[in-house]
Amino acid sequence: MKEHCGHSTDCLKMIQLILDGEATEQQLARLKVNLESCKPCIEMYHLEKEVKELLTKRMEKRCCPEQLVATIKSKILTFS
Amino acid sequence: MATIQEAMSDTPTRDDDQLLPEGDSIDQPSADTPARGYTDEQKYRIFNKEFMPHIDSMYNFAFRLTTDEDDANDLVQDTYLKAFRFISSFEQGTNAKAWLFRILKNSFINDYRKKSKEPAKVDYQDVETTYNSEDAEAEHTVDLRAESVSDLIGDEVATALNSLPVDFRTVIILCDIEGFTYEEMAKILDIPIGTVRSRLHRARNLLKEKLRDYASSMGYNEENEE
Ligand SMILES: [Zn+2]
Repeated sequence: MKEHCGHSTDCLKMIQLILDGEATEQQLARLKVNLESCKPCIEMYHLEKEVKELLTKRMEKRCCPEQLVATIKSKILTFS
Repeated sequence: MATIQEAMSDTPTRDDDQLLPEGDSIDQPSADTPARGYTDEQKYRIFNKEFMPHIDSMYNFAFRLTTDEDDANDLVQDTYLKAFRFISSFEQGTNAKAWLFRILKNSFINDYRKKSKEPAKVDYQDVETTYNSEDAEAEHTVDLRAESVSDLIGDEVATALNSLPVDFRTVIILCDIEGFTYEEMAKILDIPIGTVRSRLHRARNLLKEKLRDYASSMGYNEENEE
């Protein structure tokens, strides 16, 4: 297991592509190798995943107020 | 493990650009945007079936951009009225959500940022220049552990996100909160895919720095354990 990653900035970019569902098969295969052999890459992967989940799952989703929906619907009816 | 959607090439793809109005064509439809002759009945049907279902996401986006409920209300209303007025430049069955988000983003930049209560700490162009310069490539990875952020609550994450310059906040909202693809984000923001990717990378580094400050001020860092 590698204690130091010689190209952590590139590895980080690749990890983000993968978590965003934007990576190529080749990048995914490379990540799999790194996740078995490189400690900093494993840690970066967990951190990126955690931060993404904080944003996705833990932040409150604001819903549009009913009043605003009603206002918009009534305003467009006066257009033609 | 995230699923692989498709191989993304480095070159920005602008081939189906006509699906979304150009930056200012929403105020001034350009001659090459094929105007669709929708009947009034069709317009209302498109509006209700394709635009209204996205109103909660639009409101959430507006609120995250303005960080103010009244401004979010006005911004969403303006956006929907514009969308209706320019409905002839929307092609039925194409990506309505991205189309609407693009209008909202442009309205925000043109009309709201000026009067926003948020101090204009960072100039848009300055941010681009600074963070897209070659020097920025030499940045380090942020020293932060997954365990130290896992206890943060939603409000703390929101505060950290709100403290980012708006362009960085925007890419994170679009990608992580709304789940847009890089290609959709490129169209919403009028920037190449390569810029989406690098802006997102930098936005996340800034966010992690904020989260690290939070985590350590809350006593979550593991300094003492070492
Ligand atoms: Zn590595």
